[in-house]
Amino acid sequence: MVPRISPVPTALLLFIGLFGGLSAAWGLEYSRNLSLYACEHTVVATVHEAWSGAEDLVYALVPRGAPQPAADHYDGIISVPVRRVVSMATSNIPHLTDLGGAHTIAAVDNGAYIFDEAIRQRVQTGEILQVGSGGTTNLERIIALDPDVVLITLFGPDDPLQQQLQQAGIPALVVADWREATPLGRGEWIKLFAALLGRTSQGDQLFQERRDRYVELRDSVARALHEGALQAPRIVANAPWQGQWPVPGGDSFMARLFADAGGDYIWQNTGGAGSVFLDFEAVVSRGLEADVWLHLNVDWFSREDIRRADPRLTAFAPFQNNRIFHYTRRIRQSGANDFWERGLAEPDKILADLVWILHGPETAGIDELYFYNHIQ
Amino acid sequence: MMRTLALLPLLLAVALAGILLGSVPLPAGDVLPALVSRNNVAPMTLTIVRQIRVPRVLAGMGTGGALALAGLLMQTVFRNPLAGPGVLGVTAGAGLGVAIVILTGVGMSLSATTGAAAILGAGAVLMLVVLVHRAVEQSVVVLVLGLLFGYAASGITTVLLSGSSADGLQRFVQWSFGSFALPMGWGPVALPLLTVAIAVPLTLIAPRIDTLLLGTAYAESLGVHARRLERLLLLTAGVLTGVATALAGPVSFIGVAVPHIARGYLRSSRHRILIPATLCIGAIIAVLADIIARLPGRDTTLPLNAVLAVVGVPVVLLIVIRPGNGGIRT
Repeated sequence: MVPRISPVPTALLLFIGLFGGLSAAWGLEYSRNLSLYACEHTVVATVHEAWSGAEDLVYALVPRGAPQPAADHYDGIISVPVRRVVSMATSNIPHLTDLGGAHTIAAVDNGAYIFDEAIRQRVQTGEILQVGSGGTTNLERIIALDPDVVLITLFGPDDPLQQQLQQAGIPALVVADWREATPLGRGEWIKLFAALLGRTSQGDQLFQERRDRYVELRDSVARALHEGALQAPRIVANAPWQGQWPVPGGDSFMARLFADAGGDYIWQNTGGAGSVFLDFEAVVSRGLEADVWLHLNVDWFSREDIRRADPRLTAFAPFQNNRIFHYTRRIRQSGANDFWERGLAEPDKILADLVWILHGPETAGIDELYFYNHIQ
Repeated sequence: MMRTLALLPLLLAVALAGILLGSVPLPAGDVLPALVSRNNVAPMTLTIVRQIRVPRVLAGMGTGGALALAGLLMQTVFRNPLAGPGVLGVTAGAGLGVAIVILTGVGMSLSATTGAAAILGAGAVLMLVVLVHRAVEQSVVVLVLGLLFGYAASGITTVLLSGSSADGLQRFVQWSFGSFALPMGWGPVALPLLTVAIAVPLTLIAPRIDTLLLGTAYAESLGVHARRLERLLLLTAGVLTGVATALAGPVSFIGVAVPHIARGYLRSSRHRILIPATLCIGAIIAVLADIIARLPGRDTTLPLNAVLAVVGVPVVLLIVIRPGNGGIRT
């Protein structure tokens, strides 16, 4: 993929020009929602379409002690390296810990949904505070922490948190990695966290290693499929609940992983990056003879759970052939699931698991599954 | 009575349409044989007809009939046209039970089903309501306390939702959509039978129920033990609501609207004809709404409650505001 030159507002470019230093676009290869520009020591991070139809959000990451740029050019000015971070999403945690920034985490939204054991222990001892999320966010506690940045996730323009934090003088950086359509695009957001921690080369290196493993495996599977050495198994995904069967849309992050792993995802041609809610009989008509069944409801851990929940599901070929897999290998009783934490930072690990499931351990190059369980 | 009997062929026709129509287009020539025989029928057709569409139609008929009957009983007891299955807090109690199972992880550790949780939640609130009815004289106090129990249950549910995972939130929201898409089992078969089994004796004591419409004092003067009868009807409505909610989720609209449609259709408030008519119309509307929600010929579906509200409200308005119909009454 060709590195993309980021769109930057003219005023910003003028500002960068006035700064008099060199500016350079970071080589973001896969992300479509993030651009990074370096200008002397300052990094300009632009978040594109943080939600559907959103205007660009532009942040200046300024080294401590360096002159501060004019605030009206930016949606936030953040002093780096950051020393105190409030993370409002579990998917931020692996980026921070992998870059040696675990000590900067001062607060999280809800510790129950964090898998990382070290972070969980610090939450339990009270070293890391819990500040809630959505309508229950404890703004006073965040303000009292005086963090360098609050990493927030917004799903639309109506969320008051960003404005409230701005009014309190606390930089709020909108992390829109969930908007990325590809696993590598999402994983590439580690470069933003690296810029926040002042460890850009380490971030670049970590992402490059993960990207290389992902691309190498994806391409080798594609070659084997092309040469006829492998067949693409048909995949039925997710499980019914209250009469509806949500499946990942054909443009989704998950559908991309299925395709890259060499699977024939039955709803690949169904548009949309989110879930598509199908009627039960529509899934039966196309999925009954699938080869593999991936991902179940959160409280289904065995074939008996499936049978008990809905005996009709036993008619599916993957049930009868014992080829059902679910990402429940790394979960906590509280509901935390490392698939949605580390898996988003290291999509190469998910890909290897999927290749293991679809084509066997030799092709995947791993001995055992990391995120998935074989449902028995 | 003839107008009530005339609903039966309509109910059968709607049920047949529910079996013929679905996301997957199946020719009627394949569907009808699949109902009666396994021979010469494609396995997929057999699966779709017998394991998906038939239980769905049965669940729709049972839930629609049960909630409509519960709504009728509530409107009679409280002599209030806005009363419905939800006003006692029974639906909110069922919702709290389901929220506890889905959102706290209790379901994982105890293998508890949402159906069992809904019955427990609904049953707990219903017991409170019956106890209150024993303690207070005025029915309106029971109505207010029922609403308050409902608010309390909803409040606790909201607390659980606020700390829920994305998965839990999605599952609870989906549950709140309502659905008749149940697997074949005791539920889809038992609910219609239970509803009819309750409706028959109620029809037999219908003249006594009629007296409640004129107030407990008037009923007592006619020798009816009004308080006991009210309590029996509350308990019956609560059980019907609890079981229907446990099976299909919190299905809205039917409980409040169908009794009005039945009165408008029959132009009568006599329970002897109103009870069977309410049952039939509830079943018909529920199955019709489910057919629309299935979007026949398309893979995707619509939330059942959305269809009931969007399509149902104009229909009710047309019926109850029709000139000469006398407007809304209990």
